[in-house]
Amino acid sequence: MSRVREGTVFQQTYRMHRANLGNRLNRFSSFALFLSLVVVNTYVATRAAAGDAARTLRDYVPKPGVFPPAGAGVSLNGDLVLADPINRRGAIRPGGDMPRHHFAMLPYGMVRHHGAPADIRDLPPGIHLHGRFLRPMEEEENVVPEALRKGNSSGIHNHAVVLEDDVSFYSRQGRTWKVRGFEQGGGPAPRLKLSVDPTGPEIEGGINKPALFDIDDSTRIWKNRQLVARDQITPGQQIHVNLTWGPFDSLATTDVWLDDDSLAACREIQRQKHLRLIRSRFLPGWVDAVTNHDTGGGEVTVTFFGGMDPSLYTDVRDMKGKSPRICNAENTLRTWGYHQEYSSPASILEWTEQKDPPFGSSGFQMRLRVKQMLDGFRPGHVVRVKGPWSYVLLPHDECIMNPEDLKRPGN
Amino acid sequence: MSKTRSFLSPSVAAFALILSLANAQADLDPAARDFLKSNCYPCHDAAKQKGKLRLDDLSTDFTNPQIAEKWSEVAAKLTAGEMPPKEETQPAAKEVDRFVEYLTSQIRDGAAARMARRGPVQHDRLSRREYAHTVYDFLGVVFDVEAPGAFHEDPLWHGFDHIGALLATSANHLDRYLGAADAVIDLAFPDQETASETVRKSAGDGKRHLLQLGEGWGAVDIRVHGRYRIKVRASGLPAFTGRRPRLSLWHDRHKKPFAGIELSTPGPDPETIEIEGLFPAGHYHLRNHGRSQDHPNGAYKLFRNETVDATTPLAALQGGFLASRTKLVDEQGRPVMPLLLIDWVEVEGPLTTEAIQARRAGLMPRKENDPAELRACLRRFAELAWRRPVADAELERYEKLVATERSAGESFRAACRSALAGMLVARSFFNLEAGSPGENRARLNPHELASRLSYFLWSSMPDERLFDAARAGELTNREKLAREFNRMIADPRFDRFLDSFPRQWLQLHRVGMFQPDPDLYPDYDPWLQDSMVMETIASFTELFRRNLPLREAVDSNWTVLNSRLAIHYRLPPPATNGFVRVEMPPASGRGGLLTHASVLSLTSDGTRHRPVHRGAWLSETILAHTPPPPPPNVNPIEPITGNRPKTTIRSQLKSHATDRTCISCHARIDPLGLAFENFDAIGRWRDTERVRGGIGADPVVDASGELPDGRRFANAVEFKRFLAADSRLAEAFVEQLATYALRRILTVDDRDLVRAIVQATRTDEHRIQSLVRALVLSELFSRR
Repeated sequence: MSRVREGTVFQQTYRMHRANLGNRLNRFSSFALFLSLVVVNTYVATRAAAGDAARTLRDYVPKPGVFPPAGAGVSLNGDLVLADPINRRGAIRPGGDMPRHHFAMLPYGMVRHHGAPADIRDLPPGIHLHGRFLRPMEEEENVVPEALRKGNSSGIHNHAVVLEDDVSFYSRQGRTWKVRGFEQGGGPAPRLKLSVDPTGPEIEGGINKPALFDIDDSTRIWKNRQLVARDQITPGQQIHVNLTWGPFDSLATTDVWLDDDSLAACREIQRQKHLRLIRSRFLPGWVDAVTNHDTGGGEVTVTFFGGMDPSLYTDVRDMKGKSPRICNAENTLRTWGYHQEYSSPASILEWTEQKDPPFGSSGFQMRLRVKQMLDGFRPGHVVRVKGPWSYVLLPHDECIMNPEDLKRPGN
Repeated sequence: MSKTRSFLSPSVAAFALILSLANAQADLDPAARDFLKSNCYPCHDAAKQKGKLRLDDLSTDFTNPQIAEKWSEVAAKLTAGEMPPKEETQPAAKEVDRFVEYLTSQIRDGAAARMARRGPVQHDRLSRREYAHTVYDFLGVVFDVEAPGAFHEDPLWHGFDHIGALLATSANHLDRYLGAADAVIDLAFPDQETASETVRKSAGDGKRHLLQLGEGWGAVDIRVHGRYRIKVRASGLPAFTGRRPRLSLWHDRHKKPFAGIELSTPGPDPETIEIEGLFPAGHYHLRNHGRSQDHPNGAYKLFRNETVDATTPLAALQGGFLASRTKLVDEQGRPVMPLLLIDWVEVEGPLTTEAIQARRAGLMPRKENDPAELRACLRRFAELAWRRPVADAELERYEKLVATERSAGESFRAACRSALAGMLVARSFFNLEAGSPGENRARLNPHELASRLSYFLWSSMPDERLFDAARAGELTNREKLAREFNRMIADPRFDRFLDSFPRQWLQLHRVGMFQPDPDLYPDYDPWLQDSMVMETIASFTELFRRNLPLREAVDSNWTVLNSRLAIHYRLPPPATNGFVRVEMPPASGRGGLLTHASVLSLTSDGTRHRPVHRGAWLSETILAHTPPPPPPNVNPIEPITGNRPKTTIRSQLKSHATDRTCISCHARIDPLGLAFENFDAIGRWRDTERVRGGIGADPVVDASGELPDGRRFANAVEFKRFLAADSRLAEAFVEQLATYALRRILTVDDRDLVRAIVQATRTDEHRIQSLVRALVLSELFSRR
């Protein structure tokens, strides 16, 4: 039995309280310790889970017929150093000593140039690009062969879901550049530089601090839809720029737009190129579902890929009473030769529009009745749909004319 | 002028008037005369002659075209309600109906009498179908009468292709007969026989040729018309729904199959099929019949034209370079359409059987300088070709022809061929002759009777046994005639009757005449169309072979169908390939010829059914009563458009039941067609009528109706029951049969003889075979 020391009441009380306090403190300490452990563990676990989730998202493997979740893959940027427009492939040079990053476009991968929908073939060599890259689709792991991924830590993320030049990347996210003035750079290769401040929100993967871009007589300077001299650039102007490689890890300007009209004019030219391309190659999408009838016909449900000019979708939607045609295509979006002949006439049964579609999807889905099902009309397979556009024969090397053309050429 | 003369003149005039009236319309029906007196004479007599028309003295000689035309106009104006004029007293609707019906029947009888007017000798030209059968049965020669430039198509009379009065012979016909005769004789007696050869076309060692639906392969050349044996080694793979492939031997020029078989092998392992038959010359290929590139529902272009390894599983035939071609297998590896895999096709021929050789024996002389043999051969040939005894004098011109040809440098054999060809261009060959010059014979002689019998049952000439029976005078003996009948219906040649009579009687040539719109009827395809007709032929064959009562033609619980029709009727496929008799479930609403898709669709216009046409067809074919044509300027039924509520065709025909102009005819026509409202334009069952335009839901169909005698029916089942019990059924069928057999339109003079045939089979429930036998044994059959 423990003895309680006698003392004054206060002392006793104090002692008692102290004892109680001590007990309480002990309990509190334990509790605090426990709590802190919990908090720390939770934090760590959350961080770990977030890390796992982030890794999962980063390393997401696309599946045929399923658009990727938002945030999948990694962001990379670099100069375009290789382009294979027929197979929608290429390579960018991230800068420094980093090896080239070879890539293939996902079927729904989109390209933007001058703020308008575009194709690899529209991008000038050397242009600086921002891209989002995912791992290859199932069974497409060797589209970019291992030899071309060697030494590239991001090499496995070699399927692009979006590629855009600087003006597309920044203007899409509300960014312009405010001119501070010109500077003469120093160092071993002194060059004239354009000094700018970023105006607009912070952009992940972009330049978010004042920058110096090389500028010289090769830079195109646009004002009032015309090319003008460099002296038209004055401090305080809000401008847009496109960039390319510059020495010693700098970026050099290829184009400077001093007003929105000039950029709009360039955008419109690119948009027209895109319309001409898609109208002649047909609108791509993939098959969500098929219903086979037993005499060779059936129904095909198609979701169109995103990133196209809106008029292309409405052209098809509004065909009413006329017959769209549907042919199959590879994941490179290549079609077979004489793609109108090797297509099936169809009638539109239903057209639906999805709000907030996943990235890569246009949100437009169409159900068609076809008299003749083609072998490529299977869920997850890419198809292309001809709207009310004139038929043109494509360059023969773009098409699959024989079994040999199916073999993928090396990059 | 004396008082007597002055009194007599008007009296004489009146008397003459009365006499003329009495003579002109002496045989007018009393009720009809009363009708005319009350409603027409007041304005159209000698005194008034309104519209410059007198009806009081209009002759009733309906065999006169002008007279018949005038009475036809009278009927039209009464039907249209134009006469009597509105301001005059209107006769009762029933009286008008009766008078119009009387006039129509008189006009029709007059037309028949005009057409049937014959001299002492009657020549009824053979149809081209009969010509083809005759030359084959005579000489074993296949002649393609339907080849472009061969023979004209024969004009049809209500479906019948060999009505004597319609088959005129022109110089152009003779020109074609000359060409045909030369070709036939050259094939029968060539200088050198065409050797039979066997040609095989193979997909290759270890290979098979794949045929998707509508695709063809295996081009085969048949250079000479003849009998061939065709073998095919193939597999037939049904689609994942069970739809079976049909392997057809397709003639490129005629664009139709000359033979075919539904093929469904248990697995990919092939079986060998053998088809033997008569084939006209031409390019053929094997086809997976069901669609064709020419058909609006079959405009396939992307045939795979693929040869596969025999060991490749079907499920592997996807992807790769052929991904742009048509789909063969679904996501589970099952065929998405009926498929054929062909290993090889082999054609052997032309085959010359001993029977064919025997037919030609004794027809071509062997010795060049033996006039007796020449005459004997010419006589034998002529007796067979002309189907009667031949006088010496008839042969002289052919003997002279041989001599003339020889002196012109032709070989003996070629000269004989010319003579024989000449015999095939004689009118006695390509006509059925009956009668003798200088006498008005009422009955056929034995040879004429033999020909009538053989062309009725075989669409061809008599055989040796029938000739013998004719020569021996046996055909006038009822028992012996019956024996010949029994022998002939057991002969394979009788299949020609079983094919051709229902086609003509039921006007099956109209099936597919207006091709169904492919957007409205995407399931309609050429194989379905062929199957529809084959169903009716097969069902009639069943009725005949089992000697079933006539009422089962109208109302029964079975049909004979194949897998394609089973799909069309939404029934399970038959257990075996080909045409099989199946019991129809009561819920299907089908049974009997009237609910065959062929019958239901042949009156459609390609977009919709036409109930009035259905009724008119039924009246004509089943009740042997052709309704009068509609009056001119009748407004067509307008399609429903805009904001009008959707409604049935039936409801738009309401005026037929209310408008005086329409009732007289449509009360008898419409119910016969409206009973089948549950069947759409291609014979599918429906509960609602699809209406393209307008607003609202598709309306529910109404298949009820009221017969002219007041009996009501709720649907086709009840209607068929009434019709099957109709006393007119047997008489109408015998009329159709007699039209086919006698090759002419029946007249009022035949009515009693027809009724005698009906009476003879009454206790036998008017069984089909019994009816045909009774016709052959009847007085009617023996008369000219």
